[in-house]
Amino acid sequence: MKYFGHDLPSLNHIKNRVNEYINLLPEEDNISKAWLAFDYVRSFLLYGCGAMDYFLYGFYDLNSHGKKKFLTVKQRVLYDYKKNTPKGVDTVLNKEKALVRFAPFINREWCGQQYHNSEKEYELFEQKHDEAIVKPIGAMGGSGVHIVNISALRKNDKTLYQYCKENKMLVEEIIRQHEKMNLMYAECINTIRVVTVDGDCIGACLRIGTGGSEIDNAHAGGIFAEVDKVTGIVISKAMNYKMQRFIKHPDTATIIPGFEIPEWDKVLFLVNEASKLIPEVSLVGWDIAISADGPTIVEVNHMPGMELIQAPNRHGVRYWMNKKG
Amino acid sequence: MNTQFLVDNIKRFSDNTKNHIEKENRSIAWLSELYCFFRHGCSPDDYFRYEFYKKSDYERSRFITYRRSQRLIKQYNNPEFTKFFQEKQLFNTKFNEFLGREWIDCSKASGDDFASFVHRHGCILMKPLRGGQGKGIFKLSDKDIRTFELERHKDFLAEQIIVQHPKMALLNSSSVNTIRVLTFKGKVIACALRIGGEGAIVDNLHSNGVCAHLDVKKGIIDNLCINNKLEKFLYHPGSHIQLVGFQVPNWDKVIQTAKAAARVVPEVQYIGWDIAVTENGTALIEGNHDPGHDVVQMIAQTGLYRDIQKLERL
Repeated sequence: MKYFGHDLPSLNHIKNRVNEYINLLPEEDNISKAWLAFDYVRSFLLYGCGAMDYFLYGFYDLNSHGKKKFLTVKQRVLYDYKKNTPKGVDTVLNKEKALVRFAPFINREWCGQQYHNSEKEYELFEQKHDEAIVKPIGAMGGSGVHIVNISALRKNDKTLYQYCKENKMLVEEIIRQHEKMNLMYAECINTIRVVTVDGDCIGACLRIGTGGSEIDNAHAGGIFAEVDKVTGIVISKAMNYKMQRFIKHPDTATIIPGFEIPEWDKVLFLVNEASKLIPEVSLVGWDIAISADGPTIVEVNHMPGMELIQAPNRHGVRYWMNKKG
Repeated sequence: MNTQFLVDNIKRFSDNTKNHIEKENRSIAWLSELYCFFRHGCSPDDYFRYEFYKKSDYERSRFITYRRSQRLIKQYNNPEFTKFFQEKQLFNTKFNEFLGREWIDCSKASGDDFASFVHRHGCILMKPLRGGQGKGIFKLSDKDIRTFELERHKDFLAEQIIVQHPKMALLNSSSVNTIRVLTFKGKVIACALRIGGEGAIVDNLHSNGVCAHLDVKKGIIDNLCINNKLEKFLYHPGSHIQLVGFQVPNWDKVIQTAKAAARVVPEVQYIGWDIAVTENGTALIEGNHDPGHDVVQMIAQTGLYRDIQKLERL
């Protein structure tokens, strides 16, 4: 079944997800499973929340007034359908097109399948860099993103060009991260997710990798914490999709609440300017990395996961949608 | 309960309704509060402090409300022994080892003793024997001792001024910023840090201060701070120091002090301790046998009643 262009998950899948989350709830809570199932179905019908929305926002703790304050999956899809045009969505979905569109805000080299795709350009790239990050062009949630060692590839008698062509990937220079962000976790780029509606920032979150992971995506076990959108200071504990909360980073032991993101005013400026480049998309989630030379865009999302900015402090942002109509 | 008290509460409730609840939901707020009062024993102030207007009934049952707090006090704090907390001179004798400061009872001290005590410390704090919320406390310096009449201050206690840890003084230097530790049956339930307003001598919320939620294990402020009007703060309104992420120094000693002090009077089991942090350790300011149930719960919006019920069953 299709719902405004999106595949609806099967009932069985939803049931499994709800069951998974129920098992993650702390045992001493002992909320009855039947009640949770009933309340989930009710909330789904009334507010359009998915299983993740329901449990990450703590809908079982809220009454109707509390639930109304959150932006759920259904409202996100509907808003996306109404305000984001398909052409704009295609631009941000395709990582290559996005890199071209936002070229002024990207300070790294890359080679793709459609653009910068000649063998010569790949060769030049290989000469300059020893390691690079490859990304599948259409994938979401950080799946398939990994670092390749170019000299190791050569030993296997394979050029970077062949490797990327086979796997339909684009290759990017690895971003050198700001020293302060390295203090948090040095093994991946810790990006900042800023969500904007027509260029206004409605919320931000800091995503941090954990456990030796090369990416910071929450789907890959990363943790995320809410950021004050005016000052760029982390104002909540970090949490992960398993609903565990962290006051210190589990690997580096850096204190997470109170962590100040460097060059925050530049981030806000960048987001504001960049959203002028893509007026076709109203609701955008920007993944910003703080590189050694200043903020830069890593990725753009047309239908950003609102759990990143709403869940850590359980602070809903629906009023923004109401304002914008 | 007199009429004035009721009128004040209704007035406050109606003001709060305007600030926190959207127009279309306001009429139902009154009914909702009445329900919460009978079902959960929540006072009109609790209703807004705990944001009950947007919580489900199950979540509401997790909070220590006014009535639940009164029940705990009645059940676990033996009224014959609460005098150790009510009367300051008895408290100071009983908990002398945790005080971390010198003190003198004005009713028993002679004029010379008192003068030498003031002279030794330069400046002291005069506290009335009874009275809460920091009322009637004043500083007395060595210069003013000649005009000071000890006879008229027989119901006072003279205490050495606590020099707090320099890191704590950074937050707000005019007041001693204390940590409120709630203990039940000798176990630490939750902690909060109270920071005085600019220029205030006490750190109570009633004096424009802010309070912060502390992580019990690490002693770090992990949430936005809140003031009496339930406004949220990232920076201290007076000193503009960043509050979120602040780590309380000597944290282990704070918890140790609270746990050790909770064992001194075993007949009183539900206590809120005020502990100041000094350079070398801690100083116990006071213990409240009637602890404010709101300050430890309202900042991070975490209910503690389940934790307490679990300990009750032990």
